[in-house]
Amino acid sequence: MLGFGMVRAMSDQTQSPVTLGVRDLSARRGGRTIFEGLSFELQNSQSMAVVGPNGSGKSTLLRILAGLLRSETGTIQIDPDDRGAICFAGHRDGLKGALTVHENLRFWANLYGAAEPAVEHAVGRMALETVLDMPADMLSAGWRRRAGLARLALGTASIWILDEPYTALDTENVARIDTLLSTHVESGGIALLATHQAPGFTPTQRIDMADYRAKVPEGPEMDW
Amino acid sequence: MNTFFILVGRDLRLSVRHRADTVMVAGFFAITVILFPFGIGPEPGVLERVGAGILWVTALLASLLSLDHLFSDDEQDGALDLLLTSPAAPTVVVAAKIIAHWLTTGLPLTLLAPVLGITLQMPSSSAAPMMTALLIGTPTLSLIGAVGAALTLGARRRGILMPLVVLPLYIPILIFGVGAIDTTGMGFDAGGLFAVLGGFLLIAAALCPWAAAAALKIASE
Repeated sequence: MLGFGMVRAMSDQTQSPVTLGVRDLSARRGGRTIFEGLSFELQNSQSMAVVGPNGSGKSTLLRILAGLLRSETGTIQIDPDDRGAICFAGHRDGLKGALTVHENLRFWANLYGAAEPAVEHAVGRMALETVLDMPADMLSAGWRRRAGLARLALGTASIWILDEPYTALDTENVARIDTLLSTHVESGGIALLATHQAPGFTPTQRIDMADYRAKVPEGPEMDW
Repeated sequence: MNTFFILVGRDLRLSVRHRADTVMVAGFFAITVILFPFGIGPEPGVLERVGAGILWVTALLASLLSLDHLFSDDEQDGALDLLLTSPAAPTVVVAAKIIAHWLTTGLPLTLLAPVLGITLQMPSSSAAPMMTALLIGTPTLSLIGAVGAALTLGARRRGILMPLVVLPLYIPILIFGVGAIDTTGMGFDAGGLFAVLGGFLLIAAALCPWAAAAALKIASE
């Protein structure tokens, strides 16, 4: 298992076909249909920006695709169909405050089956050298984000699902994420990001959640 | 299997960093047990008679105390989402957390119990059955507790709700755990009672990781 991961980490995912397809997806949260009739398909080297006003279901969509939420209707097709294909990064970084940045990264690398050089590579990509031995608790919001997103650069997942990756980052680091994303997409991966801003990196597709808002409001209109 | 050890290693490393948590659980166990001689008095025969019960009830409560942050720490900093979307199967994640929980609570309590038995005037011959009973029984507490912790994750008033869910399920282990120690103390063979405790452990090990993983999935929605 470890060996397989190493090979994947080293050779990137250029050759294998990658697909993320969604057909007629709808989602309900708290008894209310948030969006419906959503369909799209992404293949190798394609990326998509998910935009839309607050509460239009961007995060819900991404969490459904990552397998954290159930959709109400519709089908999701993910290829390759194994648990390691997707790397999800949400609002919270999932860093353990008591562990150092290096320990945090090494844990994810081990879990994802990436080799030790992959950790060094990820550290370099996000320029984390100076904070490696600091406990994640001591980091500022921007540094935490960088350390959290360095997980992506471990290079084991072919589909990246990012929820507001640019939050708390300065322009220099927004550029780092952009580079990370474009390298990933150029080498055959898929990236899906919910964002309000799309600097530098231009996704091949764009979906506006406002277009998929549920047409008929169910139940009485609540007014509070 | 490799994934499993990576996850256990992480939780153990975290509990070494947060060693106050482990020390507090053991401290709670010790102090609560020591309170009983003061409350009941040193009259000969009384403490000895109720000692096994006191140790077990206190062990249940101490174990419950630490279940509170079994999943909630990871839930709050977002690590749970990442673990559930990682290559590791949710059942493996849960099983690893249960083992780590037992290693940092059940095991220290088991090692501490004979020492506390002395303060309860329990004969030194009861140390072996006491430790055996706790060694078989405390992993079951961690397993059942994990289901309760997962079910109540994200609920308001979790601190009260979880004992209400978990404590009734602890009753069989309490009965047979105390029975095993007392029966041995009276000079009878308690092999059957230990076997029942072992049976509980096997049933819990077979069911609880799956149940807790399913509950986590619901809680994360």
